[in-house]
Amino acid sequence: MTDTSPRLETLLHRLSECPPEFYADEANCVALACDYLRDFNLDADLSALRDKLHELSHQQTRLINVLIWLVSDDWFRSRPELERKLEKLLAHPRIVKLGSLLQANNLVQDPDRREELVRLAIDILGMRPAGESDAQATDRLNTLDTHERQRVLRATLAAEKRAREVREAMAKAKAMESASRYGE
Amino acid sequence: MSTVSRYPEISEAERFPLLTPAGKRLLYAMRQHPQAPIWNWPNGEQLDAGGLARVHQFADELNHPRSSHRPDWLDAFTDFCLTQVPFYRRRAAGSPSSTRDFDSQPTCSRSDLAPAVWDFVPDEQSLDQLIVFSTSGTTGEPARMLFDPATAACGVPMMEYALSRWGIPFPRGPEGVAIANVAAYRGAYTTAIVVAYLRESGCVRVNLDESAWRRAGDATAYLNCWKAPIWLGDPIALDAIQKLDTDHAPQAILSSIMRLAPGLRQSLESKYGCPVLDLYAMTEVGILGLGTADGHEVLPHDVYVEIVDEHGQSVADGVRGEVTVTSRRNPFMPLLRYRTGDFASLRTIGAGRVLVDLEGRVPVLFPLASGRVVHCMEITRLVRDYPFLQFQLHQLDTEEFVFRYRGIVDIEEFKSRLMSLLESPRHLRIEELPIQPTNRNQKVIEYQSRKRE
Repeated sequence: MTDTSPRLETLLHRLSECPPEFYADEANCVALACDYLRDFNLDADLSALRDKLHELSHQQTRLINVLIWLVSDDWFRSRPELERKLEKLLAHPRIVKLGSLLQANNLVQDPDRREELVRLAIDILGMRPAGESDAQATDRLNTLDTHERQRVLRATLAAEKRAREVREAMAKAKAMESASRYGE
Repeated sequence: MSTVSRYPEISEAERFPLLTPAGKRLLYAMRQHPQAPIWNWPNGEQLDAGGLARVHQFADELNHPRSSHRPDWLDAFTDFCLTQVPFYRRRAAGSPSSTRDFDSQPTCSRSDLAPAVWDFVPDEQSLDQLIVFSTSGTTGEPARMLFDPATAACGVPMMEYALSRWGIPFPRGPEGVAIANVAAYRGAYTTAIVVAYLRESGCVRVNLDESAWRRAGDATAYLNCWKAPIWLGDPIALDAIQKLDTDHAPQAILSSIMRLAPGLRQSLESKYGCPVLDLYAMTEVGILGLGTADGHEVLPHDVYVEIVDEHGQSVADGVRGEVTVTSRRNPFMPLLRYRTGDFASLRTIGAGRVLVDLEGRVPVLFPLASGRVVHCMEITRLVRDYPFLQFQLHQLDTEEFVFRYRGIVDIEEFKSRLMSLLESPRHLRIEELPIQPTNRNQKVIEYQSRKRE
């Protein structure tokens, strides 16, 4: 992580004010992304990014729209050293994965999800929120991690289902008979 | 065949998938004998061809010479448990250590198994052949244990292996009865089956309590008719059988479930002139040890035995501690460092191991004022109907009992049934067991009687 540290509260506040147009159905993610990066005067070839964004679902691209609103904050715009990282951020696999799990409006309206997106973006950019240690930042992000939470939830549900099946099989077996035992 | 209502019958084909016409004739003859006991347990091995092949494979491996007492599968088995078995996986996920080798694993016990035995079933284990046994164990914690038919049937080659050093093989074929499995308490299960591993030789489970027979003398007549060469039973049942006027001697007597007193052993040896074996067994892993002059020799090849201290650490040979087993035999209940609640020290002799000064189970009888004697199994059977976590029954005098327990149960209803079983003694005190501060010393003396014979 670098020493540059954005203020978490500022970014959370900005995200909470994301205009609904950014996560509306008709918002054009490819156009927003290209406009955003052009503002940085990047001379990069945007065709690869454009291709990636075209492959994503509406839910995923709407999340990226919200992300673009977030990183349009002056704090990011005033740091030209972040230009290449920001380009990679937009279609980063962790962002795309989050987009497959969450609706974009949740990322604006739900405080925990708002914090998750802000922290995830900061983490992908190789930074940590101002005033936090690496360990604190990592710990908090893990706590908020939707993917991990859903994995745990799925595992728990699967375990509960399996335990229920075994208990049902036990009830059925008990109602039938046991085989003989020898000397036990 | 009379049946107990809570055991609705399954079909003969399900009980004996491999039954031949000759096996069926023997089954019929054992059951329909005019002096047969009152059958109350219509069970069968439920063993199919795949299951029988597993029993044969088990027997082959059991009889194969061993090069080391420490099996080479321990680490792979540990990895399997941590990956596939919910209980071990969950425990490992909550542990700061991520080591997956056998020696780093914590122990578990009946306190882990009894409340949620389903958490010990591997994720991918088919539930088709599930069998449930109830047990009280020596820790006084009632539990349901899960098995498959093949695991249950491995008890036969285990007994035969124990007898192999006397050169006594079990008979094979559907011409007669190989094993008389005897009990001697009111309500004991009775059944007659053919044993697929013994090529359908018979096994009768009889109850020597007079309540299990239609007429006096039938028990002796029935045993005399079949002349089983192997007698199996707990010491109380073996003491009862030697009082019968049987006209034959078995080739061997196997004592199990409870500790065999030297006096009874000598009496049986002298009366029948055959070896009398003292087996150490538990429901969780089956037969584990054979009493020898040095102690109880560990018999199975697929159970790794350790002695652990109060912290669950394996101790050196000669140091006394809790007998702890690791067993992969039972596909429904893989046991990884399972503390048995029994205590001993270990001695290594070549590739073998001996449990020295094993504290096993002591047979307990409760004599009542009427002269009737209640076997501790009768109490165990009653207790199974209630969700006790732990229990103990102590008899202070003929008319004075104390029952202690842990668990949320309808204690008034239980007390009424216990009073009835004990024929309304003058004093029956019911108390809750205090909760122990740690896992240490959780073993309770399940049954005790100052009137013990």
